[in-house]
Amino acid sequence: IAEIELPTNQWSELIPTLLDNVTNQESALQRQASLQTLGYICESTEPMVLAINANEILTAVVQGARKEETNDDVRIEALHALYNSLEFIRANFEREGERNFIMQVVCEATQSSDERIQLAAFECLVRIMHLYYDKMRFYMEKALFGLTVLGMNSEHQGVALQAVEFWSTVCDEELELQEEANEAFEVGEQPERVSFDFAKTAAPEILPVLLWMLTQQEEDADEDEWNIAMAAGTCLALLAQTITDHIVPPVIPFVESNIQSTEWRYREAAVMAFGSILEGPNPQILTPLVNQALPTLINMMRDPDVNVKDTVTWTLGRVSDVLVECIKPDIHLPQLVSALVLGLEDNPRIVGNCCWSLMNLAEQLSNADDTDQETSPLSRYFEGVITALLRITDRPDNEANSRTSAYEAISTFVSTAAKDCYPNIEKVAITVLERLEHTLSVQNQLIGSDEQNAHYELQSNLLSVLTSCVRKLGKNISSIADRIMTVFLQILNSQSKHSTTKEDVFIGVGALISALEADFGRYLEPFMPILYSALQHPEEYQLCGIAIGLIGDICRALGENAVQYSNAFMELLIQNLQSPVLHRNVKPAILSCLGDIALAIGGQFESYLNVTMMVLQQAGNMRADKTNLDMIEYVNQLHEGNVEAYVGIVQGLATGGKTPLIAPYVPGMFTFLSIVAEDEYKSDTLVRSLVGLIGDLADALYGTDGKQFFQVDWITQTLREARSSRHYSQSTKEVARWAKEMVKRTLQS
Amino acid sequence: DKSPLGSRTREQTQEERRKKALQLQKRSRQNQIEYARRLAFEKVTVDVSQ
Repeated sequence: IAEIELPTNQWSELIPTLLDNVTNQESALQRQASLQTLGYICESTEPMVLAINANEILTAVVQGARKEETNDDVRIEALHALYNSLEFIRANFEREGERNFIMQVVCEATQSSDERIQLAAFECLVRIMHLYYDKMRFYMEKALFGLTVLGMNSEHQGVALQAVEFWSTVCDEELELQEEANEAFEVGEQPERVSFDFAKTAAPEILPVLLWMLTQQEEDADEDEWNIAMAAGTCLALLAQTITDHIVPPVIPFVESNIQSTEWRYREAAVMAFGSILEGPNPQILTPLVNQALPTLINMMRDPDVNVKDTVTWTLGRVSDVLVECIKPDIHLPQLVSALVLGLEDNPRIVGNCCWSLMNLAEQLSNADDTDQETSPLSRYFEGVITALLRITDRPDNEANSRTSAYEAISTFVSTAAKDCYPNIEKVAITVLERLEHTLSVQNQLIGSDEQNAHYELQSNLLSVLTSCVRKLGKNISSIADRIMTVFLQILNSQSKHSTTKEDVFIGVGALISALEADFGRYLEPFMPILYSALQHPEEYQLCGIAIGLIGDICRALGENAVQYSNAFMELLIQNLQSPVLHRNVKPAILSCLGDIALAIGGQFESYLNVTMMVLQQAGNMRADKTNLDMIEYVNQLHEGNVEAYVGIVQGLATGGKTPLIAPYVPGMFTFLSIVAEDEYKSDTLVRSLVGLIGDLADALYGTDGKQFFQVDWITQTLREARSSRHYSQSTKEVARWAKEMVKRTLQS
Repeated sequence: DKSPLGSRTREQTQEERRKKALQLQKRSRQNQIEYARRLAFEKVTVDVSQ
């Protein structure tokens, strides 16, 4: 009730009544219940609503949290309420006297004989560190450092976990501060906030404790339950990123002395420690260590203990992810791939990590810039790895996500493969196609929602692999395109409502359209009704969004021949743009799609020009509340869609020799562009689109009196900034350089 | 679970697939637009040389 009424200034007597109970009631139960209620209210109500009562609430909860409170249950509720009030008592925290008192009460509570109070107090410290890092210097020196190290050594697991979480939070904050500082230095400014290097100072004391905690694993730990070994590993990884090279000297001796221990806990802890520090320190320092460790790690894939193997596989995955240069194809790959493939026959947990490692190897060892590479270091292993992965996919269950991981790994291997693997990829496509056909044949025999869900998940995974094959093989898929499209249509027509699988089919269709281009035309007749249906269900916005993307794919494939569908496309797109039901995240894509249609049909877009420009002008009027980050991001995307639409229209009409048609709309376009250019929150991609459009307009208005639009300061400034500012990517700079040349030519015309 | 794969939910996997599809569509659009711009630039170069 309070959550509903307090924000509208109703029930104003509630908080004073509860506070009165806390401070004046003799009954401990009454005080406890009032504090608990206060805690829930603080948790669920917007901080701004409660800020007006901040002083009174704080007085009451701190009173209940003090060591003088004899009733432990009251004290716990007070600490919980304090935890939930920390966000709106910012003004109180700014005042040194009050802050000192709050910190004293919380620190004293960490020393309570009641472990529940200790735990609640440490939870408060974690939150305080997150919210008020800048104020913590004094308290860290005086008390927090000692208290938290003591807490990490606590015999009570909950307390130890929170103490570790404290230091993880310190690392999170300091990493963020480092990033802010780097961004400030890049533009020649001083950062607003600085790091106090708590993590670096504390490292010599907390590292030995963390390493010891790594050895406190539970024999049959529940993976969903957070324990001190897991917490320590996470904290160590964060510490490594925060203090970088300084982490190496204390950790490596621990690794070396324990990695061959006869006790599994020490072997696992050693490997975990090693894997945790692979990100952060300079690769030049880590490389020789990894080179040295690799043969041992590969051997440890045969460790008798499953926990050790699991961590070894994870560590190998980490090496493949962040230090792949250490893996020499001729020296390490044969044994590494062999060991990972063997691991695919192991426990499902191991399988998941093996898949991840294989995926990292595939992504890191392929040349991302060269999609037509003849061969790659993994080519010779392709067939063996795929065969092993396909065997996993035959498993009857998906324990530890092992089956899904195997499908993902197959997709990654396919999408990063070199040309010498194409014959194998064709075989994969056919295998997957056969399995999909089989799923259709058994669809009517499914009983119960569990079986149905598993079935649809299997179809999704198979479709994802097939899509990777289509994307990779491109036109070479045409020999089995009929069979693929038949299966796609069968799945779509057999689906009643389950749209995730429909989404995967649509994505597959998109891949097929891009692969076959105009040759896809023969499948449009059976497919279009299904596409139109998806576009008429904005409530299923994910599927609708993918369908909108398909319109773009069809336009690019058919070119001018897309005009036979343009009426229907335009009608559905405008309808969806104006739909109050459609999720706003889809709307930028609709705008871009209008540009796709214009690009494809060129001069024939004339009949849609007026309504499209009206719609774009309306969309261009959207502004973001600058205090709302989500809104800023959304408006950036919307404006980007807007610009892409204009680009498509300008270029499309130019191709059709109908550039003069844009004349009435040019002033409006420049007004929109100038507003976007002045927006301090514009993204790199928006700037790229913006300067690109400026260049396109310069080309379109060459030799006309439209060149006056370029004789304004904001255009010169925008182009200059886009070419030279460190904020913008290389590709933005290139587009800006091009645009500058186009503008120069037009101004001279 | 340590690896991102093991703990990834079905929804997260699906979101990755949607993002990938969108990324590829954006790239195709960009390629088409950049091709037209290259042609326009080449025309500029011809004009200037003439």
